[in-house]
Amino acid sequence: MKILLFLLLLSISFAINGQELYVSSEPASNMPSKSIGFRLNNEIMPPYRNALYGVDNKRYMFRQNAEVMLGLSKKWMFHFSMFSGTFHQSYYKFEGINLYTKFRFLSKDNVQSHFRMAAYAKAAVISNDIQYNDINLQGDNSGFAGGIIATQLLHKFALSFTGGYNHSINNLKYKLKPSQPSCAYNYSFSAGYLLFPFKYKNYRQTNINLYFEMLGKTNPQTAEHYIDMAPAIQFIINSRMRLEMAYKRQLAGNMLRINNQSILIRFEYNIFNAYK
Amino acid sequence: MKRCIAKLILICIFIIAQISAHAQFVKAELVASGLTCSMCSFATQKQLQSVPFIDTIGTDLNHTTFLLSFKKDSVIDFTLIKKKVEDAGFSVASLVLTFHFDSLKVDNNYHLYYQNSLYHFINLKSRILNGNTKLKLIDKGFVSDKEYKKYRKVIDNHTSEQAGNTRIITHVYHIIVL
Repeated sequence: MKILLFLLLLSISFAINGQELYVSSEPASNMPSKSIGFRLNNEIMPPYRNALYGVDNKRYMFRQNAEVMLGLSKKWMFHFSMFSGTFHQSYYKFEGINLYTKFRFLSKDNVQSHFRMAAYAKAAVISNDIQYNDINLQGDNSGFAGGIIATQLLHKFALSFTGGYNHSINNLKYKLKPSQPSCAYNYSFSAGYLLFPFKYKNYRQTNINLYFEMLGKTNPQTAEHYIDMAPAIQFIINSRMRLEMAYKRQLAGNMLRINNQSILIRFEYNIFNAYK
Repeated sequence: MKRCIAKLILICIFIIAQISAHAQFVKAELVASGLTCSMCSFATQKQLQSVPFIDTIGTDLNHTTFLLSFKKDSVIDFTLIKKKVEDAGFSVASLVLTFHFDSLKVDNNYHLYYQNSLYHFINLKSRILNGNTKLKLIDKGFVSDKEYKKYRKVIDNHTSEQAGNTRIITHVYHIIVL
């Protein structure tokens, strides 16, 4: 916990410019109207053993997620994702799809600060076996989710909070077991700042951003919870591409989950004003 | 009767032309708010590029400022510029217009008719405008909410005054001289 506080203070004290293009969560801000974005997410998990729950994964696990993002209007956007990976079997398999939509309903902009709020909804259809109690609509569980995001840019520091509810249903071929939870609350706290450049010169200049995020989940039915920290580095190239890496690690928790750490490597390409 | 109307229209055009001759729009400087990275600025620039009457866009990325020049003889619609910035997901923090004036006598509540728009001068003492002069739009959405609140009362009063105007005006802008 002390390390956590130190990291948080460090990120605040070094804050040069607020950045809210978070890697492990979504900001309340939307993508521009009439823009299309493409993402390729790669998630890697090392071998993991947890004797308490009888989890013994001896291999590296991979998941790829191809994501198309659409800015329908200045307030409303959509994501469509397709998942495939080796999380639930030793060979690559198509796992399912999910839809995400976000609506920004509040925006208070000033030159050096802004406060924005958005509501989101998510739905997933997944074919994997349900093996764990961590309800994850990003490839593990079929279900629905909804929540609220609030993002504050305070002078030169961007903070964001997400709170949401997740409901899992039976996967395509596999049913939820009686012992498995069907609902979970998720929450996250994110901070980000611009490391480079100190001064902008042109659109071709690469931006380097650092993020520190905390992501938590609670299952009220089984009294399980966890909290992860997820530091990340992000490169913005040519003002339209993003290359980013996040390392997620559990700080505390008692939830039966697939792993207590993972690496996310993401590539994103945006086309602004893509259609009329 | 028809002749009378034709004469009246001619006189009106003459008067408008006389007023317009005293003023010529030169360029605009737009400051956007809510931008945090070069990708935000680039998205805004792309939106502005789709505005048909904008000729060139210069940028000052450090101050999230766009310097706009306009195509000759085009009718300029600042509301469309505001919409484009908002479509990119941001807001207009300030829009300063540079006009070239040729000995134009103005006072508080002066109405400048330019193209299809009425520019209403507020908070102004009687003076003569000469050469390049900077004017700032203070209507809702063209300044921060905080700044708009400062002018809101004056703007609301003037909006009711203009109700009886019979000219064909597509936009009414309230401005202060910088």
